[in-house]
Formats: sequence, C-alpha cells, structure tokens
Amino acid sequence: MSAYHDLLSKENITQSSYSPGIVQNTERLARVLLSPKHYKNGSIVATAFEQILHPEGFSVLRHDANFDSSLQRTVQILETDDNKYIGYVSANVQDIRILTINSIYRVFVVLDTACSDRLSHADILTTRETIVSETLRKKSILNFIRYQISELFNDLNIIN
Amino acid sequence: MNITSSLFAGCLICMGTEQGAISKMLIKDDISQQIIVDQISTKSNNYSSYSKKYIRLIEELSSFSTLERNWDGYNGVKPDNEIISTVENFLTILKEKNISSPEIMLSGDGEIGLFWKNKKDYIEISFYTKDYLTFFHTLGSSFYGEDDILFSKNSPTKLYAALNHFQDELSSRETKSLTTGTKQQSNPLLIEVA
Repeated sequence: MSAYHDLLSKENITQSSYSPGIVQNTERLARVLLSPKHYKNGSIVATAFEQILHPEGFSVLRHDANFDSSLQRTVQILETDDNKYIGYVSANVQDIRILTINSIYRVFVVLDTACSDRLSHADILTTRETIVSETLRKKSILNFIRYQISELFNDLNIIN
Repeated sequence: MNITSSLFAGCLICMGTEQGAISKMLIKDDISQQIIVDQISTKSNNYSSYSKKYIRLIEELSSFSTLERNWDGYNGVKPDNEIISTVENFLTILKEKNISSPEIMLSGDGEIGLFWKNKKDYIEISFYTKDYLTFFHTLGSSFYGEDDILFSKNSPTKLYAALNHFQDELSSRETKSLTTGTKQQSNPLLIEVA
C-alpha cells in the first residue's frame, strides 16, 4: 500500500527540472498516433493503450504546456519511413485521475515528466497493487483497465 | 395472395434466388405485403453482408502477418502466425454460432483482440498464445472476465452467454424500432455492431 501512496504523492511534486509545473486536473493530455490500426469507426481502440500497463509509464503530451513544439519533436522522434504521424487523441486529466474499479483506490496517476526537448511530456502510470476485482482475473483486469482509459481518450484528431 | 402466403413465398425466394424475384411476387399492391417483402429482402441482403463481414475480417487478420517491427511507431511487434491461426479458428466458431462479426484490433505486444461495442456494452476477447483466449465484458454496470481459456476443449460458456445477451439487447431494440416503423431489421444474426 505504501507504493500506492508514494506514487500518488509524486503527482504533487515536480518530477523533472524541465517541467513547466505539476499536471493540473483541469489540463488535457494527448497521445500521439502513428498507426491507423489504432482507431476504428472514429474511436480509439483499447489495444492502442497496451503500454499503459508497462511500469515505465505511458507517454503523453500536455495540451497546456508547450504543446506544438513538443508534438513536433515527438513526431520527429517516432516517425519512420513506414510510420507516419496520423494525429493524436486527447483526454481530461481529471477523468483519468478519478478512475477507480470497485474500490476507493485510483487506477492511474499522471506525472509531469518533461524532457529537455519536450517540455510538455507527461506520463500516465498504473497503480497496479491496489487494482483488485472479484469478477476479473489477472489478465482480464488489465485489459479492462486498458479499455477504461481508451474510453477516456475520446477526442480523436486525425490529420487529413 | 394473403400476407402469410406472401411471407412464405418470400422466404422460399430468399433461400435460393435473386432479390429481384421478390418484387415479381408482388402481384397485389398491398402496403403491408410490401413491408413484409421489403423486410425479407433486407434480410437476404444482410445474410450476404454478414458473410462478407467475416471474409473482410479474415482478410484484415491475414494482413497482420505482413507487418514489420515497429508497425505502430512504439516498437510494436507483429503477432505470431500461430496466434493469427488461433484467431481465425475462433472466428470460424463465431460464424458457425451465428454471432455477429466483431471488430479486430492489434496490440504492440503482438496480442490480437476482437471486440463488440455499443453505447452501454462492451465485450473484448484477447489472444496472446496459441489456442487460448482471455476475455472480459461490461454489460451495463457489471463486468466479468476470465483468463487463458483453451477454447477448443473448454467452451467459454460465460463468454457465449454475454455475446448472446449483447445480441438479444440489440435485437430487442431493433424489434422495438420496427414496430414504430423506423428501421427494418429484427434478426439477431443480421445485427451490425457499431
């Protein structure tokens, strides 16, 4: 349980010397997309959030902090000849932070993890140890979490 | 020709002939007969589209084998051919059970997923290893899931129950709208999942 509280406490402390400040609940976050396989019928699919389950976190950009140049740099880093930038999908920080599953414990934390070349960089981390359910098993609960966050990232911006 | 005989004749036609033949059966211009024949004709078209959707699904699934590493820009790996075959086998089972075609999705770790979604319900099946599936569903406010089911030996009965519930829900909604004349579709096999 202490790991859970430690993780939560990081939200209130700047995590990077480059950070423009801790991530506020009123902010919005964007996930950069490079594959059309990540959306169907105008909505993002749950598997686009597979990395949300990784302990190192899920990279996003903050709309309210140096977004355009950070987006440009992210695209520069990620794009290859085979993978072109296709757009991004956005969510409200507050919606992410209030998500729980059958308990009082939060599922995600959002940390300001700015980089020198991407000041708006942030990470979403999953609070694994407190996520329990009587009706879901080990894998299915993680897939359920992945689905839950895909529902929060409901503002899709695809470039033409 | 009364309504019953018109319906019967329409059914026979739908089983083996072209849609155009249906209109030839309309000797009498009766509005209710026209509605019935239209419904049968719609079903005939939808049975065909039902199969086509599964064919398109298999085509999309097969295309996964041609993906390169980093297909998603986030170092994604392509799925193993064994997993692709497993999903294809499972799709065959779904089709045989007359379950409406799901959407397909792919994860950066090589997992393949199938899902059905409407405004309040969601069912997801994931394939990580050969012959096994993991699933969960949210039906209304309840959710349930199971891991690593060897589906050739252990029938995932709760999954099939959820799929049937999902189809019944949509079906009842479609039937309700039929009575108000807003849409002509009532067979659960013909449901187009959003």
